[in-house]
Amino acid sequence: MKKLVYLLTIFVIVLLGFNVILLKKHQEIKAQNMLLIDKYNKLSVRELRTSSILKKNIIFHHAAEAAYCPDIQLKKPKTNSDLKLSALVNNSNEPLLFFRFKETDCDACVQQALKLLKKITEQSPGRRITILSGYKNVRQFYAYADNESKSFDIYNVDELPVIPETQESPYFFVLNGDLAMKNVFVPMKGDMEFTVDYLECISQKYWQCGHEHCNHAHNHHH
Amino acid sequence: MKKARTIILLIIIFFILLSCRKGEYISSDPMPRIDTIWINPAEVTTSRVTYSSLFDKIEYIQIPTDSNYLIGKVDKLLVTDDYFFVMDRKISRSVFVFDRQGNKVVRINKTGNGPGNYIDMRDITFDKEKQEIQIREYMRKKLLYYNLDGNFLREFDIPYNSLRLQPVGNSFALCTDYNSGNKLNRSKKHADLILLDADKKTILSTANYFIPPFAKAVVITSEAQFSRLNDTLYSIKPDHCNIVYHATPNEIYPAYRIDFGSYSIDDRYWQKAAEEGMTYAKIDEYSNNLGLCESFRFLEGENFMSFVYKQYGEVYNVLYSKKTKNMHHIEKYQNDIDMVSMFYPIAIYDDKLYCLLSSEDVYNMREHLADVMPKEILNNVEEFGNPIISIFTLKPF
Repeated sequence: MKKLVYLLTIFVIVLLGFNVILLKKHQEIKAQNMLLIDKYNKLSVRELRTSSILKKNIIFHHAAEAAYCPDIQLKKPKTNSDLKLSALVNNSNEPLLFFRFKETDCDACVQQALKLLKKITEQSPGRRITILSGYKNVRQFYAYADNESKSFDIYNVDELPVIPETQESPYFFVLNGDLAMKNVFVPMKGDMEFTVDYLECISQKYWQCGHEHCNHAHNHHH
Repeated sequence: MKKARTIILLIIIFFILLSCRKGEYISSDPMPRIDTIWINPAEVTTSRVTYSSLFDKIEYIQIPTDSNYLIGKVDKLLVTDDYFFVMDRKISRSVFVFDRQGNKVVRINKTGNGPGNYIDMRDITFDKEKQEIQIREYMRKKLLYYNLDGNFLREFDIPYNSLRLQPVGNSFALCTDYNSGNKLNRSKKHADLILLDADKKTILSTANYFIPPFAKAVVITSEAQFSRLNDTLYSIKPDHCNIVYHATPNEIYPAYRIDFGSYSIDDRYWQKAAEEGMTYAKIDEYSNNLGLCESFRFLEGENFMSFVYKQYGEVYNVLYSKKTKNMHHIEKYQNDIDMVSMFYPIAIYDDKLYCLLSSEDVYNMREHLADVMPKEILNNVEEFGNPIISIFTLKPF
């Protein structure tokens, strides 16, 4: 009888132990599944976001190129003087790449894009990219320009009456002498791969000459 | 038989103990007597309240402007006995230090990835004893230390995400601003306030548990800041809650409740904020439909509290005396002192409330201000100069 009791006890212990092991394995598998579901959801969201951003870019690209940029007054940093957009563009011997942001735009988006732009200016020191900031407060613009003017040419315009201005993100565009907006691009936060590709394309399209030649042309112009 | 029963009992007890969940932090949550500040929104003073009825005086500190000392936006003004510290997070990305007379001391501008640099500055504090400026670097969860010459001294890792960080004695009080990334949860709620032992980096206390919203962007806040009551006591009232918390080196505990009666914000708000697909616009609409009162921009001094609350899209002001329990409950102000200062306090120190006055406004109105503002200020004001610090002294009430 005693033997039976002990055997039963051991059997119960083994059964319980087996249950615990199975339970733990079940929890592990559940956790893994949740992780996979989470990853899938994030991927789906990312894909949706990507396709929506690409769609937005295509729309703005076409819509903006159907219109011209008005010849607005731009505020110059450190002086209380203005400069017409046409004068800025005509002063350059090649189309200008603009990066436009407003103070209400997502700061992380702006900073990510500026980081990429700084890399370009470091790699090609003769290449000046033009920032069009949108500060309502003049002092804020001066403070911003003071911080960034080593890397970029910076001007301020409170409102730019063009179609891409309606969306709440910073954007790139190219202007030449006729003030026709070309190559409008809205960078995607968290996915700079498209922005890198865009800047590569712009570089190839407009700044195709070799580094020395471009610098020479730039210095000769000034 | 007896032995077998004993063995089986022990096994059962063993498995009961095994089923206890590991890793969940339970706060000690002391429950002292908590004072209640009752506010009846229907009792707000609707006629304009003059500055002269509220304030003894307004004083001014003019900050010099030059190309190296241009403040973009004041994200935080820190006032101490000897200095003003201005944090400009996004425009100049600098900390500007002035003495109490407004003279320049140092500008810290160290954006970057290297040692002693910051990418995303979120808070500044000052250690009076060691004369060290502390900058909270958010992305890399660090505290960076600089001296008053602007030289980097050292850094310290803080293992938790937090927007605000306040040294309190030998501890750090952190306000996460409703970031659930720290995984400090209790029954599916997360801790918004954390007290950390500075040496051991262990948690001493947690408070203000919240249900994580659907997305962080759903619950936009005014980025509540700590107010100094003394060297070992700080106060904070996070947005979207009604409790004022006090932090000592040993614990964070509820000190006051701001009670709007049936219009007080409660778990209904957070449950709504957690719903799938919730957005800021929808939760704001929900809040307006119920007439919920949300208090924010809270500052506490030794004798006074100042905050605002929003109901049905309108903002109302409250000044509360801790001594007398009296209150100014105001819809609109009328500036009959200098006609130009706006009472929008961003710091409190020594029971005075610190606001900012636009140089542009003063410059444009300088001819009309000759009798009400000091000549020095008017003669030196620049159209696009740095803001002027205006200091409001409340009359006792």
